Amino acid sequence: MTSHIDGIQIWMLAPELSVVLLGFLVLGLDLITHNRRVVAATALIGLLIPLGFTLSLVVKQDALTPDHTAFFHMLVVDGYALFFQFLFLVIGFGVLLVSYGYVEKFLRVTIGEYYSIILLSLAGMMLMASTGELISVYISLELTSIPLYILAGLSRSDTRSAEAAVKYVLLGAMSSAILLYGMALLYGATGTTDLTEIARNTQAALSSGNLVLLAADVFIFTGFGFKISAVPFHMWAPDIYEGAPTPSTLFFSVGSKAAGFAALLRVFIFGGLAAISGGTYLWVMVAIVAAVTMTLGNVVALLQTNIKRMMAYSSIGQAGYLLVGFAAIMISNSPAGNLGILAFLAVYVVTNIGAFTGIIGLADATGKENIRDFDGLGRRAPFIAAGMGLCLLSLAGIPPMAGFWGKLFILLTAWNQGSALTWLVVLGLINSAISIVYYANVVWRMFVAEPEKRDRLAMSGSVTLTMAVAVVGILALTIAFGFLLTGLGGGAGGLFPTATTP
Amino acid sequence: MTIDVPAVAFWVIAIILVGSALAVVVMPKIVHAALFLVAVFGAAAGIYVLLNAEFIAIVQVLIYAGAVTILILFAIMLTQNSMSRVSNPFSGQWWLAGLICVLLAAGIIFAVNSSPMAAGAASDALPLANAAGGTVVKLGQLLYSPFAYSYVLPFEIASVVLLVAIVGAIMIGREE
Amino acid sequence: MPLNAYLIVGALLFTIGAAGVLVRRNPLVMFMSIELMLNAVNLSFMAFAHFLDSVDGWMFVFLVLTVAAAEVVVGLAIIVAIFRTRREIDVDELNTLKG
Repeated sequence: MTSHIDGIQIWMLAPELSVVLLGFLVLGLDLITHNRRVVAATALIGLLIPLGFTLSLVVKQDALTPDHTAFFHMLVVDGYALFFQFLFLVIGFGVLLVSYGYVEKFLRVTIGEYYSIILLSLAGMMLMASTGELISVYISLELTSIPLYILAGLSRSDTRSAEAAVKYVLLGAMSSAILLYGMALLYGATGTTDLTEIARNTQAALSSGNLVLLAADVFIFTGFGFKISAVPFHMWAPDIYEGAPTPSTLFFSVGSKAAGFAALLRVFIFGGLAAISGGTYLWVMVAIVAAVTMTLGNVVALLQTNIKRMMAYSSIGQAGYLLVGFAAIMISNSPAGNLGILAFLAVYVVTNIGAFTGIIGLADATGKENIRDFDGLGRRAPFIAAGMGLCLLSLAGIPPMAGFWGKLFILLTAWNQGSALTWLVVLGLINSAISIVYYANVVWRMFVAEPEKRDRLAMSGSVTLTMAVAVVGILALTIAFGFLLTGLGGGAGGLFPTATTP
Repeated sequence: MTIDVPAVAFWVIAIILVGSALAVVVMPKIVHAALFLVAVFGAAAGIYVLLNAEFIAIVQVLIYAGAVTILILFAIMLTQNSMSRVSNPFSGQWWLAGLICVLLAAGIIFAVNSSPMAAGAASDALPLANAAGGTVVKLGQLLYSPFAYSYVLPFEIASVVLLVAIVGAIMIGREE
Repeated sequence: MPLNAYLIVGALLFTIGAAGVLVRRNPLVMFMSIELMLNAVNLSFMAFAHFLDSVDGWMFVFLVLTVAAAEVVVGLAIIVAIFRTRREIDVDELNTLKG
């Protein structure tokens, strides 16, 4: 461990640092110029800088500090962190691009303000994946969440948006408090806030059957449960998703969820809590939450008439599949479960961006967001409808789409954990079948149902471009899913503490 | 017979703290709830003094009892049109929520009492007060020192959080 | 005083706050209850820090105070903003969106 901060450590922080600076730049640029194109282009092209830094860190991993940590163990730049940094930059690029037209029409802020808030939240998400210390995890979480509360309430003259913001801020603040209480108990039980040392100390603490440690685990899982909208903490997620402006909803459904999982896995695996859970039956709680989450998400999604509410319940269902992978980690501390979650998240992010691009495109052109408004979209906007259909089929897990492989891998991992999780895998397959109904319903409406109007819809360039990128991304992930697994293997396995001998 | 002054002080403050917290939750008038909240903040600062953390106690009074309370009172003033009205209704399922919370409290207290903790190993000494240069110097070094173990990273992130809050509050609050 | 005394006070404060969030329907009172929960967390951190003889817990409290204040600013701004659009701020009345 280096004793003081030097250039290498600053370089390791460079991706997050440059995103924050880009946020400031965009906010400032918005004051000088009223040209929306200039501001948007600066933000989008500027995102290449953090991307370059992340890639430089990937390539030059040997040049980093020996244990890949900086700032006194608080920043951890391992393969896992770099994967999430890349994923969040993709999310940022997608959200910024797709919201270009929407912001001017429906929001009461300028493009620069909207973009800067998203960028600052993005920096928080990147930090959530790469901090190795409890205080930093909490502060990064707040840097992520506070902009999200604001993003929920920005619709022009729409009371539903303000309601969504109130519900989001109350729920988010409460979940932060619960998470913090868990962290306090963890600090008390282990005597440190450094996750590496926590991993060391939990081994000793468990042998004496420490209930405080168990309570800390439950509180921390609950706190993150709100962020990833797991049942029973999903209560207001559909309201928030429906009321918030659609690009913000997209950002919640991919960014907030991926960040929640990034930090959850970081604290539980890197912090050594997963290693001890096999003997504590904590995995039973996770498995039950996973089962209820995916079942409730998928069943209630069947009943929705609003597309954003449907996507909210769909994303709750997808969180359920991800939690199946988490249950597999909890039961036997298996790196395969972590690999499954990372691969599933990568696919989920790209497909969800594509699906929401279709929703934003329709809202942009007509201002409508009910499922029946998608009637005949295949004829009114063929490319957007085709891309959105592709994404929905991937979300449903129809072979041979990327979503199918992701789901298959995560369920196989759970299956390999032995008979304890068999029921969960079967339930996952049943849910997958249920989910086909509501995803296929939208596809059927777009391509078969007779529309009320037959006029061609003019889609904005940013929506078409985002859809094109998402479609290319899905096709690439479908073809190269095997490569994705190989590429992520090191990052997923590297998160587990090496000294696990009790 | 000698009186253990810190112990008596602790119990008095603890009773004020818990009583005021209950009052915040059950008071029908929202202004009364806000005033009891100030009492909670003050009592918490008192406990910090008992724990030899005078600096944190002062920060608690400045930020919570000062700034946060003023903000909440402003919000009440801006949103409540009539102070006399019972402005603070209960949810219908209050008994269920109450039951869950009683069980939760019992669970935490049981866990705390039955488990050995890293924290439990230390004695009830007053070591921090004896640190060289006093606790405030130590806190300052720990907060922002590039040469020794310090929380520089969370401190810097916190500064960005404050900026986001300022920008966000303006975006939310301004009239079109 | 033993550590457990402080922790029990913290646990009581935390659950009273949690009950407040679950039971009350006024966003402002729910927000105050969340502040109670945060104070319970801070109290526990201070107690642990004292008995661990480590200043890490102080650091946590110091930064939680800072960030929680930022959260209050945004939260209250949002609550006041919704009151401008409609004159009622009971969470159960916020039913344009069904729960």
